[in-house]
Amino acid sequence: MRSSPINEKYTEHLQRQCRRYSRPRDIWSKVERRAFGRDLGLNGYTSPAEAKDLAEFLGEPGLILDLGSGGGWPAKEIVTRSSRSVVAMDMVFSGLQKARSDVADTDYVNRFQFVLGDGQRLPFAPDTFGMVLHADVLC
Amino acid sequence: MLRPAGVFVGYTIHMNSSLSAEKLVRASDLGPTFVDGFEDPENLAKTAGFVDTTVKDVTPQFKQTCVGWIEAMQFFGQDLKAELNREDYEEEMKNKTDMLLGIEEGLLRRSLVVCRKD
Repeated sequence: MRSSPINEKYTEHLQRQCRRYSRPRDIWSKVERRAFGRDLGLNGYTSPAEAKDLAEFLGEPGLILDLGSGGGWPAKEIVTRSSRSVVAMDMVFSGLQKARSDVADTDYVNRFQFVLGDGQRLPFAPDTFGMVLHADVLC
Repeated sequence: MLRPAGVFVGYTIHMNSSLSAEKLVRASDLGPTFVDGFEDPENLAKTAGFVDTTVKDVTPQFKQTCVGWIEAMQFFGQDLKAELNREDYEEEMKNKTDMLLGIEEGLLRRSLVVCRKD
């Protein structure tokens, strides 16, 4: 099958994301502390203040879907600010592994579930979520 | 999958909708990989069937975050080049400086978009 420019762009994007999550953690932890004052495990542009703003819109009761969750930020911030549970979904396995490892020793580990999947083919039943959140996924 | 009255909320980087064709191309080049649509977030949400859409411009905060990343990456530049590889570091730095340029030229915006399922 011939690959189209869009497919090539998409593949390149996914490969870049995979590389990001496989980077040595120590040095990125220092970078994040310098840039944001905290080691957040973030991989984009949602600052701590913006994550807090997202938590103001919890929507209807029920699960929260973090679409394109990557390493689990800002969902971790929302979970710590509410009693809600999150389904973190991403198509990059190494991102989900990082998220899982980050929450493993927290007291909210049981409020996180992880799904490897594509946002264009969501594997969920209707009316499952009270809130769907995303951070720079639709761009 | 979203319940009725459920909330769809998130941040999105997009092009300034009032750009000339030439500037739209430049915005697409400077922005994230998939920033190439011309619709603004409010219209997109409406087209997708969402209601009660509010859009808050968070471009100043976006700029501040970009500057923070770039400054911190420059500060740890030697360590990053050693730990990653030079190409990876330079690609990451280029993505972020391009993004900052796009913001400063008024081409790229970031918005908090909140809408609800009818």
